Amino acid sequence: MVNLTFIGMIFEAIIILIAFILLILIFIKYIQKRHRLTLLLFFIFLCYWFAIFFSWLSKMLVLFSNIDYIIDDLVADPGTFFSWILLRIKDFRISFVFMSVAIFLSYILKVNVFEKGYNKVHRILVIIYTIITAGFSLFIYEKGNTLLDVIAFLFIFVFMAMIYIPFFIRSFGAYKESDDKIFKRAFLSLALMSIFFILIPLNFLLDRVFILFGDPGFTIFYFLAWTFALLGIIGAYFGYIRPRS
Amino acid sequence: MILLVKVLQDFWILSDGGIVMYHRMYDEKMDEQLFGGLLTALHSFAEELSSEGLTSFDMHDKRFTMKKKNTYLFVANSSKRIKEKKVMAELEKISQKFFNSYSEDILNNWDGDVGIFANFDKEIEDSLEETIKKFQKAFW
Repeated sequence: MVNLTFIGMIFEAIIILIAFILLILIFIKYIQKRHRLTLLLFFIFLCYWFAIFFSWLSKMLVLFSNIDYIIDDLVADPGTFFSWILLRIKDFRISFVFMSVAIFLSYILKVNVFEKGYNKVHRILVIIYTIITAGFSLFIYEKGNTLLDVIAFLFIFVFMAMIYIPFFIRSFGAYKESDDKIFKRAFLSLALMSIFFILIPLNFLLDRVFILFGDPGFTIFYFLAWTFALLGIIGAYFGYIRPRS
Repeated sequence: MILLVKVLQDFWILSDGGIVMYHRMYDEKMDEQLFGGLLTALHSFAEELSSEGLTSFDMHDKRFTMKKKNTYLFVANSSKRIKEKKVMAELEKISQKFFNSYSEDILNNWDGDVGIFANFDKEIEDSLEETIKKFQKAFW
């Protein structure tokens, strides 16, 4: 029988590699531009990269660690500091923390490129939501409790939609209004990137819901999520890196 | 988003007396007050012939579009390639911004000093242009 965790690990390893290339390209862009927004973009994708890395590490732990409380849901958590960390890596909670930070930084980027300044209420709401999402991911955890995992995925999905739907609206608006071919393509890429980014946690959430109802996981939604991650990276490349004005 | 740069080229706001209260011209070849007087006269003449007055006229590759609102005349020129409906929509947005920025009280008691409308520039700043500049500086 095909080991789905192994296939997932290979799939994620490919995504890590492609995301790493994008990360390097953003860093090269920062070296050229020396602009704080380029640096901000670098940190956003660095956080996303770590999120993917820890998700991949989760598969590695399940496949190769041979730690009983990691590979068997029925074995109790020994309650050590080490197990605290490893279980949260295994159930993607560390990835969620990195994603929360990345989405928060994306909000800062969105305001800086598309708005004239911060809306005080929005800013406070986004800060509170970041703390709640990251806090929930780290501290509201129970080994083997899939419902809590589903809620954690839901938090991330809502957060992603909260930030990237306005990002999409702004990018798509700029795409429609711009006359220049290069700008049009760049804004369209960013609009598509926003949609793909929202679809990533949505598909993971659906995968988790299936697990909640007894499915072994690695449903079509899991693979769709990573496919959207790949498309999002391509969108980011054509939106941020490729255009030369 | 107001696309003054992309959709509209030059732009004028005229009082019912023909005074240019605000103008933005990229290439100032003529006296704006003289031009404002001419536009007002044209519009008034057209109003005598038709209740709607003059809404647009063409000049070589440019189209001048006019929108009258609360006795004020909002005029812009644009490329003929841009649909008149789109230009009208931009003029509508600009007129709304104008009346939001300057209350009825200010406009009714206006003493003819066009200096008070100088800050209207900030209100109609092109957000797309600004966004593109930011992207160019940081990424492109």
